[in-house]
Amino acid sequence: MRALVHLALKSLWNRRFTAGLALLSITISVTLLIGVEKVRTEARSSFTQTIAGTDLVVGARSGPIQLLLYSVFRIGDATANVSWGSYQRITGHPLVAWAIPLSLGDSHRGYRVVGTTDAYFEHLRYGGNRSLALAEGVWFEDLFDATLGAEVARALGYNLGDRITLAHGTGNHSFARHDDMPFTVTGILEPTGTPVDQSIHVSLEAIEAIHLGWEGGVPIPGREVSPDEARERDLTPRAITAFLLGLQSRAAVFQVQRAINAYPDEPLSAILPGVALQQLWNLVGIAENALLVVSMFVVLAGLAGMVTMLLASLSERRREMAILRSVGARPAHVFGLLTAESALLGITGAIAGFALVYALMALGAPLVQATWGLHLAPSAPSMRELALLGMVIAGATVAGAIPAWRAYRMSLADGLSIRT
Amino acid sequence: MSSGPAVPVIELDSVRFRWHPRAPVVLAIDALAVDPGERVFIRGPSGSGKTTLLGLIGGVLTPESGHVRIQGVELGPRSASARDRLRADAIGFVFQMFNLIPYLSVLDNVLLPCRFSRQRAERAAESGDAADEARRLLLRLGLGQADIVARDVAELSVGQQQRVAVARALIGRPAIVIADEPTSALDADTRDDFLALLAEECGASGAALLFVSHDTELARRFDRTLDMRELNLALAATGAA
Repeated sequence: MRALVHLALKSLWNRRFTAGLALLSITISVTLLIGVEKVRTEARSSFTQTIAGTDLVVGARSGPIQLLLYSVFRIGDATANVSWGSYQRITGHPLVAWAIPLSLGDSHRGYRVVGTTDAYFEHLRYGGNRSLALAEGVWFEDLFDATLGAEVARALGYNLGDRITLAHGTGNHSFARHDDMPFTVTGILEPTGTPVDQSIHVSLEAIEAIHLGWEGGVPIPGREVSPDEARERDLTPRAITAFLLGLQSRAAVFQVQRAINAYPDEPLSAILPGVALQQLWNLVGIAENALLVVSMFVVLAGLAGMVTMLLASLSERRREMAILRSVGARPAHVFGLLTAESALLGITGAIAGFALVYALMALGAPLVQATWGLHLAPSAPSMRELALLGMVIAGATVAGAIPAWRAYRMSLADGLSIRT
Repeated sequence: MSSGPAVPVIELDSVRFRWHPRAPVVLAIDALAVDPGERVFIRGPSGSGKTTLLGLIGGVLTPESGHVRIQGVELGPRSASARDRLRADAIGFVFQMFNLIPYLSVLDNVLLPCRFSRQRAERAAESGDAADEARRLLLRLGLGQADIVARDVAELSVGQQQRVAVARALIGRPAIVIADEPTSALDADTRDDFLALLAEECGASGAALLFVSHDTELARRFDRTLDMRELNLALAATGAA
């Protein structure tokens, strides 16, 4: 066995140019396969870690995915609101530890505005158990303060002290603007890789203030309110869009969820974010599986290239086979030699491809983080990745059986007679 | 050379061979015996069945009928892999040309039989190390230059390559060395030197030498000369027809 591996190594080295090309195709295909798998799992964990520490997400009655989409991902709109009274009553429940109200519906140049409270900064968690942090400035304090997500500040080039105006509705070019009440940027958050980066945070009262005189959904002429007048008014919100709940004990989740779903005064839905995230990912999962299947086919193509290379070399190796037979090699040894060559190519290609993925990840992680907010930590290889590598190596060995079988047949037929 | 009734190292008895059941018999030998250490010259032009004969002795072909014995061991009833093992243990081959594996060093080429035959590996290592034995053989064959063992075989001249092949055939002292037209690619001077060296080294290691060639001039160095045209009865029959 050792003798065969030794021979196989020398033989491959002797044909290092063609063997190198075959190796390259395997390496690239493995890089793609493992890269896709890595990005897939990282994207998944990044996605499922968008929100953490929250026990329940509550909004007007709707499906869990819709509620999750507009409250956490800020995609789409709520069909109805939650009344402030219901919010007050539910969060007054003794099992509730904290609550983050969310008031959505306004935007600034395509970025969503979130009306909320200090609880957002204090209790929102993502990526396991990381809390929000400020890169600059402070979390909003005044009525017309705004705290920007990292991506908003980066993309729009905002700094502390800049003044922004909000637009009514969530379109990019809304005609209904809240021009009369500009906000001052007082804080910019650290990047999180979650939708927080794309949000502009203001107080609930601010959302109330900019809609004074907008009772019909559009500004009513003659009823405009100036910022100073707004400060004098009662800015207690009448309704919010959704809220996140943290409970005293996780064990109470189902109890509280049932209570909210059966809330008598208003049709509400409470969902477990983890479950809803999983459901949502299952929808997205079809695409990622397609990607994995494609990369598996690329591996097949790589192995086919290797088989072609080995088959093409066989005719010029007939003499070599006869010499090996004459010094006592059995046809099985000839078979083993060819199989060992493809297995070696498979092993080397798998390891090189794997190393390349890690090198690319180390080099590209900052760019990926900045561009897509995807956190690519060079984590230890997962069992799945090792299993994929094992499959590539096994595949190479099995594919090597094709040229090996031909060589075996040839060496049986040729025996000791040397043909070229 | 040998004293006493030694068992022949090669023995063929009423052997008939054809490539497939409906093809004509291409080799028919009633009796052929080579004693230990004996040097036999087999003269045969191409097409006289000598390749078939070597295949039968090497155990890669099996006769339709009759017996082939190597060192007294009957090949017929043995499995293909047992015959392969017997060949590895008992026979060293030297072919016409391009005898060497191009991607192995000179030393690795010489040591090749030791990788497939434990017997030969053990015998080569009797006086120390198989690699030392390989170097000793190369030295005796005039390839003693220090750097030659590590060199690429492609860098050697044809004559040097053939001598490396002889070292490979002799390592681990097999009972038989079979040389199939080993001199046809050599010029007259190197051919004579090569032949003398081959005979001498086979003598030194006690191997019987079966030398196949169409060139009768070489025959005088051998104990015995056989002519394929007389040995192979199938050939005589077709020749007559």
